[in-house]
Amino acid sequence: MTGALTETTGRETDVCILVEGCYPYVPGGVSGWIDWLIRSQTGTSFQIVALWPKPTTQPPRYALPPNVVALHHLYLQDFGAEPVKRLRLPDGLDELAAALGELMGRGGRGALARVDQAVRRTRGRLPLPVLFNSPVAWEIARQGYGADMPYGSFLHYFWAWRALLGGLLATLEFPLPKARVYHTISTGYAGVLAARAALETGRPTLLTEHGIYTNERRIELLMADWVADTVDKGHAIDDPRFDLRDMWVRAFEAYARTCYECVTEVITLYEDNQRAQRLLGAPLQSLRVVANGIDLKRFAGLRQAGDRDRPTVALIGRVVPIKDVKTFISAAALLRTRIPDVHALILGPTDEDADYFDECAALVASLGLEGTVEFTGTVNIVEYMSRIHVVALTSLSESQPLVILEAGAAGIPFVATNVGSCREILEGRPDETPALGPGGIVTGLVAPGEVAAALESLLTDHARRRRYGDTLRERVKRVYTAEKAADAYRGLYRQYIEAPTHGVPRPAA
Amino acid sequence: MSKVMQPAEHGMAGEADAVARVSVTERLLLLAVAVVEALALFGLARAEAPVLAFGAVHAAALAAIGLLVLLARARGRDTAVALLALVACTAIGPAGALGAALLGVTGGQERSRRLIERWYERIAMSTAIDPEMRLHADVEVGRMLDPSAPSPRAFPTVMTSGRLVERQVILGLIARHFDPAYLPTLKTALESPEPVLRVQAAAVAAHVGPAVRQRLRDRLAALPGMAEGQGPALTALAELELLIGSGLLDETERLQAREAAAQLGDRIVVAPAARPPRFASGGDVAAETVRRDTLERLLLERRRFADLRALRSAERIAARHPAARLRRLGSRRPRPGAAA
Repeated sequence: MTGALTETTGRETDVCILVEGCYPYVPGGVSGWIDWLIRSQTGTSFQIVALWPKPTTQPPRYALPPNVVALHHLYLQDFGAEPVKRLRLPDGLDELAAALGELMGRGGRGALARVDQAVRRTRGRLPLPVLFNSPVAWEIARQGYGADMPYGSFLHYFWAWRALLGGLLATLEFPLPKARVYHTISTGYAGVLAARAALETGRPTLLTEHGIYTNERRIELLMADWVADTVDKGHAIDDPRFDLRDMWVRAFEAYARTCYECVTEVITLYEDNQRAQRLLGAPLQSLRVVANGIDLKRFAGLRQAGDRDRPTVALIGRVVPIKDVKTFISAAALLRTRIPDVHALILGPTDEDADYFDECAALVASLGLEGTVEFTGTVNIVEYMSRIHVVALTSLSESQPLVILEAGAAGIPFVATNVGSCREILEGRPDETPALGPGGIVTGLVAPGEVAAALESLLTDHARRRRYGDTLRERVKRVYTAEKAADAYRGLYRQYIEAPTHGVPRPAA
Repeated sequence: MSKVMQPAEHGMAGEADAVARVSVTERLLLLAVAVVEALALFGLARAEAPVLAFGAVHAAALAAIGLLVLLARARGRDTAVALLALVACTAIGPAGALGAALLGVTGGQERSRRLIERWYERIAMSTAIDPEMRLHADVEVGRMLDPSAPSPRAFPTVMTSGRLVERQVILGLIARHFDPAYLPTLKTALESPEPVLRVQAAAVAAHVGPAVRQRLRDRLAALPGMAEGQGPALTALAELELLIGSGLLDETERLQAREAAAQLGDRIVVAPAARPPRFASGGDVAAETVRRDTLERLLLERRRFADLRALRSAERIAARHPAARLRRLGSRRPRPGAAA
């Protein structure tokens, strides 16, 4: 493994991270994880390709760790040269059009290889940025429209197609930095770039998915109002007519398939995700789980809330709709009818969605919960841990919430909705040996009654609460430590950095 | 499935036109005949030639035009211009041939021919479809609701037993075309063992949450001015129950909704009904079913078993003998205000 490099361009690094739409510009779970990963791999050199819509003046939200030697940008919506009207068309354009159609329609390793071949053949005489703003692109769009949805609105089709193709061509055109291992943090365009890296360089390529990118895009697209429905299907779900929404979903599924078929390892945070990955075409033998972890030392030696202390439950998180704080407040109202002196803390920033916070505050007031529910704002949660008997999470969506691990490290049992890996963390994986038992209670989504009942059972049964807290702490120690996660990636990187190159690589930029 | 107009169709039409059109060569030849005859006649006149010579030149010109007619016919081309030239030349000499040639050049005859052909196709009830018309039809029909497609399947059924993709499509529809009737389906999805579906259902729940609350506000605001009779009250009650059961209301809103539902229940059961409920009598059967279920549930909750039995009995009679329905229902309907 090479030492940290100081050059910013041209040199080969150990790892090249490919990340779309987050690090280092947007704070959040995935960005924080990338920062942690790079910092945890001292002695490994990194460069980063940040896929971003357009050039931005936005300052990075993360200072790059010292072992990052270069940050490259790939702009997805800033592609194309000055329009050219009269072109001498090179041979092989039909082949390129067919290959692009296949990559956007079905995807897969073979489709990417055919596109790669066709692009190489035409690139000398017709570079992709020129092609994108030329009559050739128009003709390809026209053919695609004729094949996909000749009854639909060509105008809508054209712009959707152009947005998709622009991102794809930008990804195909981007000069790959030299690295021993490529590591993408999602499928999508970053996944296509990783697939390209695998194909063109013959180097090992890793994919770590926190959430399932394709499903997230599908959910967005199925609900989106900005995608026009050009075909009236009523409420029929069996109508086979292809429409714009289908085109978007199909493209992201195709990109995911391409990525899954090309990368060496498909890593995720918990087993439930693997089912979705397999449905989207990930080969079974490439699947692996590497759970996130936390630093146990922060929570070592904390005093536990006593049986005679005021019964206290807490929700730790931002006050935003996705956390469904209102369900927690409603549960607190129900809980108060059974445990009148219960204290419900909401520990987290309230300024991210001011309207939602106002609604939550109004709900507290309307339920007369001023003496029960307390919004603390941003605090150091470690200072509150010794006052809390049970922590709750009412989120509508999570992947692997660190807050459960933090509560577990402090020996506090948990009540969580059945999202992401909550059940896996609270109840253990099916292959847990020896089985530790439950460390908390899993409830349904948007179910204040269930949440209140679960909280009540743990607040009133002290022995059970302590038992669950101890179990969760043991499970976190055993599985979810930052050291274990860092070691897992260290092992993977070491294995693949030293691995021989497969196939005949083409020279990277 | 519709298709776009094929370029080949244009090609075929073009070929047919070429066959019917008067060729440039023919026009030039006509012009040449006219010019040559005119020059010959002018020369003969200056030379004061005998009349017989004039006749010979004119006959030669007519023969040349006649030859053109025969050539056009042999090649399957339009002979109209050549024939016209022959007649005109016979009558008025080279000026006639010249006029006919010019007529061919301006294409006036060609336009007339096309108009005549279209008119002929129309009166002959031709089955040929204009390409533009076909494209228009394809686009229009392709985007319209397909009347031959299978009926939409019941959302609750698909949500419990459909394929994952189908269930995801339904959640998308619920998000984009929200209606309180979809709330039980959404709740089923929220409780699904399939994580992918749960996450999507949660996103949909967050998306439709404001609409659910707005619907409640609208419904509560409309209650004081609601029309008399059990029908509107049952519809309102059914919707309130859906909103309450969705789990998407705040606790305060839920309490408000419950209170309003209780008041509506009192009104339905206690207040004299203007007319008995007329269930399953055609019209919006789905809405009727919802109202009937709501009333049954209400009677059950309030332990008005005698009324419930009467209602069901009336429904059975109506189902067996529609003619007796109104008569029997009138006498055995739930008695407003009667004790259980």
